[in-house]
Amino acid sequence: MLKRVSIASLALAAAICAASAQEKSTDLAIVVAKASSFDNVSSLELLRIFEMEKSKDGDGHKLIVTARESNSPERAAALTTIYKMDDGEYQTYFLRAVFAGRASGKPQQLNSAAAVRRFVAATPGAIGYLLASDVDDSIKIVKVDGKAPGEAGYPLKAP
Amino acid sequence: MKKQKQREINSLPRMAALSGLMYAMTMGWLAQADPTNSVALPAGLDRAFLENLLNRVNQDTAEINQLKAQLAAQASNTDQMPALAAPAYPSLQFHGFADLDYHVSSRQGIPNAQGVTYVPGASKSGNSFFLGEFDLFFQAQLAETLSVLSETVISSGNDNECGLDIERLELSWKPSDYFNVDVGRFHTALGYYNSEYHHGAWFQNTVGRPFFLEYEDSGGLLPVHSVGVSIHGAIPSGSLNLSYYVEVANGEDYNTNGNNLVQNEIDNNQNKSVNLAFVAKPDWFPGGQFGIGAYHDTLSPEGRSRTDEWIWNAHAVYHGSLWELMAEGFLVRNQETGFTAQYSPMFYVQAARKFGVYTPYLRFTYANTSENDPIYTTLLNQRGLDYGPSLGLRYDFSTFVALKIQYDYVIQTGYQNANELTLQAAFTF
Repeated sequence: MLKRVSIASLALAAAICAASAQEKSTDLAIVVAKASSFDNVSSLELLRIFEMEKSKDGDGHKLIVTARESNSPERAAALTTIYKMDDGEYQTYFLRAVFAGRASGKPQQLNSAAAVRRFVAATPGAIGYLLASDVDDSIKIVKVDGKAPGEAGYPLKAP
Repeated sequence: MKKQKQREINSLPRMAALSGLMYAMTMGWLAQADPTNSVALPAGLDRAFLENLLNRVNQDTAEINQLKAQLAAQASNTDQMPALAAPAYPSLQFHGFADLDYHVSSRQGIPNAQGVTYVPGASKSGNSFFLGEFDLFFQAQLAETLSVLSETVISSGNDNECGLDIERLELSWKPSDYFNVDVGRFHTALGYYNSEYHHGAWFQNTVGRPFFLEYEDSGGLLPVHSVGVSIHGAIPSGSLNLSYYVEVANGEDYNTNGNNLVQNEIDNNQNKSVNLAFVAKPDWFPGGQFGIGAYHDTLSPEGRSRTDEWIWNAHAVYHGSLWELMAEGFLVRNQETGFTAQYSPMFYVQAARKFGVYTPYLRFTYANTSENDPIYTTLLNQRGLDYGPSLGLRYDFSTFVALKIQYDYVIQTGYQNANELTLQAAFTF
């Protein structure tokens, strides 16, 4: 009897966990400071921003692109959905961009979601990525191709 | 350790749900089994077993609370991190690039007017190990919109001596995406290859540049370096994503007296070279770009009359995550005063496909310099047809080390056709 009840409770627990995971969106959200006028960006424009080909945002601030550390799930999602590169290609891309004079360096690396929130919230022109579930009201989500995280057709769905 | 902790944190909701369920069930059973309660325990269960279970649940709950407290403390610490410090100037970064090579050819190297071998990497004996270029690259941000870039190359020459050259030294002012100014010695915005690839062989799939785009002191046929001013930036053009380049520089000093062709310090005439180029990276062709350009200089070549030089060029390139496709053409028109204009076309097409760490590639290079050209024939010892296919393989031994093997078949007016093989280890650090 207890065995049956245990199995039932495990199944129930698993169902609760699955529902909980679905509630928390794992889409990648593009975030900027709340005061930024940046509301929507196309996928291609987003790529150019994150490849540091653009130097200013729409408000005239110097664009400061942030990145998460290697091996973080956010970095992996950004490489897949924004850059469409692996980590080696990412390193090579920025080395080449610096060498050709197109960029002054790689994106500013931050090592936690809280650090991204804090830096983006406090820095005009900063742009970064977070799991949508890590976004709070200190920062603003930028729509991509007119879609917000969680919406059907949102292009930065975590793999 | 970090992964273990992450796993523990990730499992918190599951543990909490499961423990809660087990706790509720156990409490229910115990309540039913209480002596004051007349309900009997189910067969096969006893009080000790249930108490053990309850203790286990209590232990798990305590562990969960401890982990929650650790998480909260960690989040609190991160939120209290100081904001990143304001950037300090100058911020300096350094990279080194080098290549080590072996080259074998069915014919010996061909000395050109500067006394160096014409076929890139070819040797007097036709069979040599050789040092490629040791490239010291510095980039420093001096202020938010000001930066400096330098590329100094140590390389060995035909006399087996090593020499030092400042290949690039650029002071850049970048106030906006639409207007940037570079001053110094830079790569002329002459098509795609010369703008994209500089002295680090590691960047390119092939072992070398298309031969007519080789550097001036290595037998190249075009003014790949300029000393002057380059103004460039984006042009508001919607989905076409146009950009422009306007460059004014000293131009080249074609001579046989051993002087550097690039006029680093003294221009041998009052005329400046002017280069104008436009590049489009249309939204509808991600990874692709198209460009056109025109370069003009009035030359004072050694032993010749004033010569009017035009170089027109166009390119179409696709650079995706797997494929690299390049096609680029140049038409050089040199007209010496009192003579008819001479035209020399040059082009290459190149295709490479990445298969994991392997990138096989194919290139076809072609140049047909006019037999009566006042510059090529007399001063650069280059006349007539020079063309052939190259076939090679790049193997990325690691992210920063590439091993390459390339076969070339060279057909050149006035010389025996040649089979050549080059092995290269190119790396960056």
